[in-house]
Amino acid sequence: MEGSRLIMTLPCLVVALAGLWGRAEGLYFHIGETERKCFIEEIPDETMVTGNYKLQLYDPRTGGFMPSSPGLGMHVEIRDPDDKVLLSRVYSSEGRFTFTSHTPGEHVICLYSNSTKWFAGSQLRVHFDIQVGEHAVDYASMAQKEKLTELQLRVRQLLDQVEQITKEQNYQRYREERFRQTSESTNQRVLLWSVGQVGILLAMGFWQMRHLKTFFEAKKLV
Amino acid sequence: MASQRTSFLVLQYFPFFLLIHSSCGRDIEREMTVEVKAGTEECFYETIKGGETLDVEYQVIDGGRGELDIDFYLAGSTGEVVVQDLRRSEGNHRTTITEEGDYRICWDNSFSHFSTKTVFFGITIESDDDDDLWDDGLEETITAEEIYEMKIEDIKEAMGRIRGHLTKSRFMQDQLRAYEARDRNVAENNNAKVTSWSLINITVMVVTGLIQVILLRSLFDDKSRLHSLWKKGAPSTFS
Repeated sequence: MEGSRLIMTLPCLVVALAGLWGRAEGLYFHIGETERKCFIEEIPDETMVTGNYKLQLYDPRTGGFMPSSPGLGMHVEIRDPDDKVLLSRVYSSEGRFTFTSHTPGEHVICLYSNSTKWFAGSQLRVHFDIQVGEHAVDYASMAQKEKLTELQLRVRQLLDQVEQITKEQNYQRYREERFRQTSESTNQRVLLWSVGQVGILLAMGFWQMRHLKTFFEAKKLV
Repeated sequence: MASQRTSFLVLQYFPFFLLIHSSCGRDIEREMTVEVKAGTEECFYETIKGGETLDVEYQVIDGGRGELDIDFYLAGSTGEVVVQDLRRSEGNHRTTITEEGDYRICWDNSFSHFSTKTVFFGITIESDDDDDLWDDGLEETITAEEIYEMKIEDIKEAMGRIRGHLTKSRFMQDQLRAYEARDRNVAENNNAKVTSWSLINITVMVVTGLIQVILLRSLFDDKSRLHSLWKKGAPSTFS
């Protein structure tokens, strides 16, 4: 019974493994050699973000893209919500990068190749995938390292998911507070400027009348 | 050592990959936020096999001057457009793909000259693989070991359902976050507009008042430089 189950599950394993590799190669886009492409990720604090990428250079001989271009490098620059650089490194043409956010907010992940050309070079195909929070955790290797059984791993997955939901909810409260502050500030400013404008109009009127009155009296026209 | 150890290892490690892929299918979900500059379009390509379902959902969350719309189109590998949206602020498309190939998903902001649009999108690819690989037929006689296995299966099934619900919750959270980001951007743009226009208003008022006084004075002041302007304008009055 156990043997037959094994044989039944082997094709599944192969498909699953192929699917794992296929993931990073799924979505791709084209950029010029000197072009920059940026992605925005709005994440709460202490959240891990992983990016899988692969660079391919256009091959004019075949009209397609070379399967692997080891000479190219990918410059990854990550800025936190305060516009401070979290990560600015050149990686090889294929790989992954990871960072953990320390402040909640909009992080910007920018990719560009480390080509030294000054103006538009050839086209590059970039396969890219970003995984945030509990999607970024590599459960297979964690299970291996900590020797977890299947049930233990499932529980761990569920715990991570719930933790991420809680973090997002807290972050949502913080964002809503900022939103409310912005709205109240707008409201206050509208009131202030309206009253201010009426005041300035009245003051200008008084000043004009008084100034002209003295002017005409000096000129002996009145 | 070999066969028993490998069977143990495969049984141990294999389910982990199963957990990551829910039913041995290729359910891929991606969410990204990109900026589409004015007058350009941003395209993403996805390799899809025949029979899979592509689900694209997008939302414009920032639009500079408050215009939150963008063009969207989905094109096949031969270039023919499968789905197109014109000037929409959000959209949700679900298509079953018949032809295998690289499909192009594009957001086009070329109708706008100044505003950079920020688009939040989610792409889901579902494959309807047959997940009956576990069906090996239960025998009539059920031993104690098999009862234990079945109970474990129940627990695992319940956990699978919980995971499905939590994944949906996470997805809804991301959607709500996109809506909130859009509203917040609109509010911040309004705030900036109120401030700049108020300052312009006040400046115009003050400058107009000063110009009025200066012009009026020059009308009656023979020594002023502008007096000649009045003279040129209406010579009959000053004869």
